[in-house]
Amino acid sequence: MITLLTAGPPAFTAEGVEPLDVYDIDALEPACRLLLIGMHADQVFLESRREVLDAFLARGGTLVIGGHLLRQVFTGAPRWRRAESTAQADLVVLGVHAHPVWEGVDPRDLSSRRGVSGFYGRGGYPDLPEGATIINRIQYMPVDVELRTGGGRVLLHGGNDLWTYRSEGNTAERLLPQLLRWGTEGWT
Amino acid sequence: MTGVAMDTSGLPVFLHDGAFYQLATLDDLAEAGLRVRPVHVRDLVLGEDTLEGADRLFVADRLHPGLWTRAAESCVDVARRGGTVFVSGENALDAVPGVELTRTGTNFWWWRTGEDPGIDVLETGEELQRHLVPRAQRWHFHGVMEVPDHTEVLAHHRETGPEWPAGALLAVDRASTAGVIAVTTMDPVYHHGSRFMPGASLLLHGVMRWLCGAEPRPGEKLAHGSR
Repeated sequence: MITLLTAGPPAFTAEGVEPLDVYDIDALEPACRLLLIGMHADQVFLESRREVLDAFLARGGTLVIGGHLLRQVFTGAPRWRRAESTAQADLVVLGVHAHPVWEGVDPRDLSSRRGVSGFYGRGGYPDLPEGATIINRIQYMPVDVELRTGGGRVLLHGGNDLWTYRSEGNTAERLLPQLLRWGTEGWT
Repeated sequence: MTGVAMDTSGLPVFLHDGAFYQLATLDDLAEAGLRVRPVHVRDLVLGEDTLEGADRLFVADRLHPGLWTRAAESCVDVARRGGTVFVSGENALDAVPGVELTRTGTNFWWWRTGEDPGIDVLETGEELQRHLVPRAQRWHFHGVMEVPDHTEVLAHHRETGPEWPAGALLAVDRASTAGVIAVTTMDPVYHHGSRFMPGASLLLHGVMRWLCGAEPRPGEKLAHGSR
């Protein structure tokens, strides 16, 4: 089961993706194995319910979080930091390690939208735990990272939600379907 | 909070819902010495916090719509009691007297392509505007408003196509209530707190200085902290 945690109307709908209001997280189904948390989610509330996300990870779940993580919403959550420069010319997305979610995605399609840069990221997660995989960076800031933590997997994207690229008209559209495929691989 | 407890009861309230951009903005306001009392909209709805006694209120943009709907009347009540309320964009405006909101598309690229976004900043004698350079009032928006005739419109959009009707973008109403209600369809907290867009940081700085009773420093941005 895939759950999209919402803070208002769901940002997208897709087959097999169930929306759940952020304030109903205590009702997260034990059958949920992929949990998507968007950038508008209340991090103060989520931090107060940290045991829910910790238990989800302990069950081997995959957690995807967009936006800037500023609170310990799961134990060991890294903290987002602004890049040295947020000038337009400096917000270029640079690939570091290949990852199935970004397969076939041209970084230039992420770096700017109609000539405006910054949607994808303006910083990232410089302080990462052992074993973290840096997927993309902006300057020296890891903007996309995968962590193995607490028994589960966490994919952090330190910018506007990956699913906001689903109608981009370029290779960035691959992010959402590849995210759902990666997050559910090996499920029976 | 540790250390000496501070009396925050007389400070402007900053209503938020715990989203990262609001938390980052609260940190930046503290660093800038603009003291506010953060109130979480969920605490307000659950009766765990109150606007009783608040005479200045900033409603952050993009509040959780379910919570905002339940909190909006009590926010407007601050103005009905003679206080000053600023409602930021991407929030429903059903509770704001006489205001009708039409949501629009967002032209975020005009400053790259050189096209005319249709935004006019109108020079008024409104006190809020003493805190705002034109660039603070002219970047982008997510809707246009019909407002009562007695309202002072600071920024207005000219119709630029079917997706972009005409209407107010930033307005101050000193007549509908005993106090003041200012409202905008811009979303400065989201953009400032996302470390985006200089115009948003200019608008936010001006509005917060206005609410805090600080002297105008138009053209000065709220600074981005380290996060």
